[in-house]
Amino acid sequence: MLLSDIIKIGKPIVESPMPIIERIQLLTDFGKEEVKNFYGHIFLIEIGRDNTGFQFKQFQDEKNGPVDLKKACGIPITLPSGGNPLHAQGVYPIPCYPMYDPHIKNFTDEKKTKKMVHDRLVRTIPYMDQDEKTLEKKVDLITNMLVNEASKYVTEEKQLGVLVILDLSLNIYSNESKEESLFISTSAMDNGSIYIQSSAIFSNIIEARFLEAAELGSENERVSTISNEPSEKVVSAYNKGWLWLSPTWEMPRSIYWKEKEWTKGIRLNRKEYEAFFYGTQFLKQVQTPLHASMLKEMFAPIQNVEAKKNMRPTSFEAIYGIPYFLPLLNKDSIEVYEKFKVLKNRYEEQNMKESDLQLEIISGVQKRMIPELTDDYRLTIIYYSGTMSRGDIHIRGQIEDVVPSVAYQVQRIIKKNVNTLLNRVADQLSIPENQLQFARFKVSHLPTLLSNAYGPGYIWSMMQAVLHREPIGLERVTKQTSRRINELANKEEYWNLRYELLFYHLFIEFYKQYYETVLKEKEGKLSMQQWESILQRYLNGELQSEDLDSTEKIGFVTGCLLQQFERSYRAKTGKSYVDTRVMRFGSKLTPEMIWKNGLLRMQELQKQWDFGIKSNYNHALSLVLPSMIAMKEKQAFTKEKDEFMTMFWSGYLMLPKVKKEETANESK
Amino acid sequence: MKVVAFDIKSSLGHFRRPDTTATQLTYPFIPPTVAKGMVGAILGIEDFVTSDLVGIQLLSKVEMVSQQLSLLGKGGGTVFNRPTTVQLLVQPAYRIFYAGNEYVNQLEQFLKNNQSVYSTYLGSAYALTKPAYVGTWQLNEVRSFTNTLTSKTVVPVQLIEELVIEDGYSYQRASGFMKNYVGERTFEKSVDFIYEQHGRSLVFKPKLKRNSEIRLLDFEGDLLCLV
Repeated sequence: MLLSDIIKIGKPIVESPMPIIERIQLLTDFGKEEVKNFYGHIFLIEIGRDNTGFQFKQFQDEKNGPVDLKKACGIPITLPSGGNPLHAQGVYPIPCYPMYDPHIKNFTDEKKTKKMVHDRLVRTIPYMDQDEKTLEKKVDLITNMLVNEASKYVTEEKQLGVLVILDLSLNIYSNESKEESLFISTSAMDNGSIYIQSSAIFSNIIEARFLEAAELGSENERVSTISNEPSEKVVSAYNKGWLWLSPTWEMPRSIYWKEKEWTKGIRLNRKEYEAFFYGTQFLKQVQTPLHASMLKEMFAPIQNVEAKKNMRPTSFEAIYGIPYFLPLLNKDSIEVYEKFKVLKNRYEEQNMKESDLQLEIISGVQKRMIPELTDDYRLTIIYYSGTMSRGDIHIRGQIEDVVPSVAYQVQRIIKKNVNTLLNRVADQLSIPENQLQFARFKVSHLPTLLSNAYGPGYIWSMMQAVLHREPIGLERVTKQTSRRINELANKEEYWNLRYELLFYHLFIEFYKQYYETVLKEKEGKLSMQQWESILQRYLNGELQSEDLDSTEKIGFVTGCLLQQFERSYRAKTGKSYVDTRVMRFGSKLTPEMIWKNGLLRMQELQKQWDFGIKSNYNHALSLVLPSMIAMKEKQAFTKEKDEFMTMFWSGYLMLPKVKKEETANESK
Repeated sequence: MKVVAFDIKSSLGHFRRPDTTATQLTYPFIPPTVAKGMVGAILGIEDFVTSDLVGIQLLSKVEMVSQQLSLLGKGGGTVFNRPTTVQLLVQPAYRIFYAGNEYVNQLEQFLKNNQSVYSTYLGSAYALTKPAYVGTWQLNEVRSFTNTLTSKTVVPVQLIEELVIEDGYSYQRASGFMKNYVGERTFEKSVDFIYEQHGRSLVFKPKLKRNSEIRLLDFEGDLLCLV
C-alpha cells in the first residue's frame, strides 16, 4: 500500500534532528511561494490579563518580495485545500489564520468580522477546551481590535494577510525565551518579548490533522492497521490532507459502512498518523512536474515523422513524478533520513557525482538525485496527471521496486551513449556537432529513449522492463525506424533521415550495452565500432564473405555500394541514381527494388558508361550480388525487410566522401 | 495440518489497494483476505470469517498496466461519467494453499467436484477465474529453524532476518496487505510481504523470535508461509 510506504517515509523524518524552520516549512505552507504575500499584512492582536493591544507588521521587505523566514516562522499558516477558502475549515493548530482580501475588506463590518473570528477560534486547538463564555469574550475583544485598529490598514488594492492572536493566557506563548522557543514580537502593551514554543506548533499541527481525520471515523482501544499494535485511539486514514486518499470519491468504502465508519477499512494511531502526515508533506515537496519537452518526447506519436514534428510540447497534460525509496527490510531511520534530505533538494547537474543516481536520466524527474543507494533499498517512481489539490488524480505509471544497482547501470549506459557515442555516430552520419541538441535530449533520458524507440504506448512497460532487468526486444524499434526512414526517403528529406539513423544506432548501442552489462548476456547486434570497421574494409576493398553473413550487413554494404555508384552517376549525368532509377514514381523503397532496379542495373550502366569507380566497388559488388540471391531464397526480402532497410540507409549515408585526388589516382 | 491447494488464473486481475480513492491501484498479487474470500465464494458462505490460513505462491510474473476507464461517478450526488485510471495485473496466476481446521474438508470436496456456489474472480468481476484443484496434503509445522529456509510462497517481512540474494532474481516488497477479515466489511491488521517478481522461491535466514500469527509448514523440504 502506498499508505504504509508513506508512513515508512514519514517515520525517519519525525525522528530526525530536522532544524525547526525546516520542520515548520515541511508541515505548513509557510515558506512557499504562493503564501509569501500573506506575510505582507500581519495583524497581531495581543490579549493580556486586563487589556489588549494591536500591531500591524510586514515580514516582506518589499511588495511581492520574499518573506523574512526567521521573523515569520513563529506564525506559520496553511492554506485550505479545496472548499471555500473564506470559510473556516478543518482544525487550526495555533491561533494564526490566513486572511483573504474579502476578510480584510470586511474588517469594518463588525458582524461579519465577529463571525469570521468566532468560526476560527472554535476550531483552534488551544481554544477547544475553553468554555463558550470565555471564548465569546475573546471573540469580542479581537473583533473590537480588528474593527477599530486593523481596519486603518485596509487599502483599496487587493490584500492578503495573517491574523495572529497573541493570547498570553494560552500556554503556547511565554514572555521568556526558552529552548526551541521562537520570537514572535515585542508586546504592544509592555514592550516585553513574546515567544511561542516550537514543540507546541508541531504537536498541535499533528493533533489538528489527527482531529480532522477523526471526522471520518475514530475508535478507542483498537488495533492499528499498520503497526498491528493495540492503540488508545485510532482514526480513519482517509482525509483531504493527502488527496490520493480523498473521501470525495467514496470507493473503496463498503456500502455497509456508515458515514463515519471509515475506520473499518484502515485505521491509524496518533504516532502512525504523525508519520503519515510527515510522509505526505515530504512527497508533496519531492513531486516534480515533468518538463513539457520531456512530455512531448515521451508521448508524441512516433509512427509518423510529420505528426510528431507538428505536436506542440504544450499539448500534453501535465504529469508529475514522485520518486521515493525505502529499505527492502527494516533499517536505521537516521540513515534513511539522510538520504531523504538529499532527495528533497534540487540539484544542478554540475554538482553531481558519478556515484549519484540522477533521477532525470532514469525517470525524467528533473533535478532530483539520490546519493549512493545500496541494493538493500528499493526505488519507486509514481507518475500521475491531474490536479492533486482538487483530488483529481490519475495514475499514469508506477515503476516499483527498482534495484538501485540496475538503475545505476542503466544511468551509466545512457551517460556513455551521450558523452562518447553520440558524437561518434553523428560524425559517421556527417551531422555537425552544433546540430545535435534535440538528438542529445532524446537519448539522454530513459523515458524519452524508450518512447522514441518503442512508441508512447509502450513507455511504462518498457521502463518497467529495463529497470527490472528484463530482456527487451528490438523488432519493434527496427520496424518503426524503417517506417519513418521510408517516409523521409520518399520525401527526399535526407537530412532528417540522418537524425533517425543517429537515434537508431544510439538505441542499438544502448540495447547492446544493456544486454552485456545489465543482463550479462551476449546478443548479436553490431556496435558502431564494428560497422566502422566494415566500412573501412569496404573502402579498402578488403571485404570478406563473413562481412555479408547477415541481412543487416548485406543491407549496409549495399547502401555503401549504391552511394558510391550514385556519386559517379551524378557526376556523369547530373541526376540522382536512387531517385530516378531505383525509387521511381515516389514508390516505397524495398530490398527487392534495391536489388533489381539498383544493383543489377548498376552493372549494365557501368559497362555502358565508364564511370571510373574505385576498384573496391567491384570487389564489394561481386560479394553482394550472390548474397542478394541467397536472401531472396531465404525470403529475407520480406521477412527481414526492416533490418535490411535501416542498415541500407545507414551504409548509404555513412559512406565518407572520397577526395578527388584519390579518385583520380585510382582511375589511372 | 491439512492443506488443500488450488490454482487460479485469469487474463487480468485487479486487487484494489484501499488507500487509493481517486485513482485505483492494485496490489501486486492476491491478498490473503481475497484468497480466503474466494473460498467463501466457492462454499457459498456470505461474510466469510475464518481462522483458517492461506499461503500464496505466484505462478506467473507480476506485471501491471494502467488503463483509463470511464466509470459512473460518485455516489450520493449526481451520477456522471468520470475518467478513472485503473491499474491492472496482466496474466495473474496463483496457487493458494489453504490450511486449517474449519473449512478445509468442505473446500476439498467442492474443488474436487468442480463446484462453486458463487462466481469467483481475481479482485474484480471482470477478471473471472475458475479454481482448479491441485492436491491435498497433511503437512507438519516447522517449529525450529537452523539455517536458511526456502519458501515457495510469498514471505511476510517480519519473518525475515536476512534475505539470501540470488543472481538474476528480482526481490520486491509489497506493503500493507490487509491481514484479517473480521466480518461486516471490517479488516484488522496488515502484513508486508517479500516476493520474487517471477514467482521464484525465496531463500532467507529467519528471525529466531517466532511470530505466532504466521504458521510455517514443511512442504516437500520447502516452506509454506501461511497467514
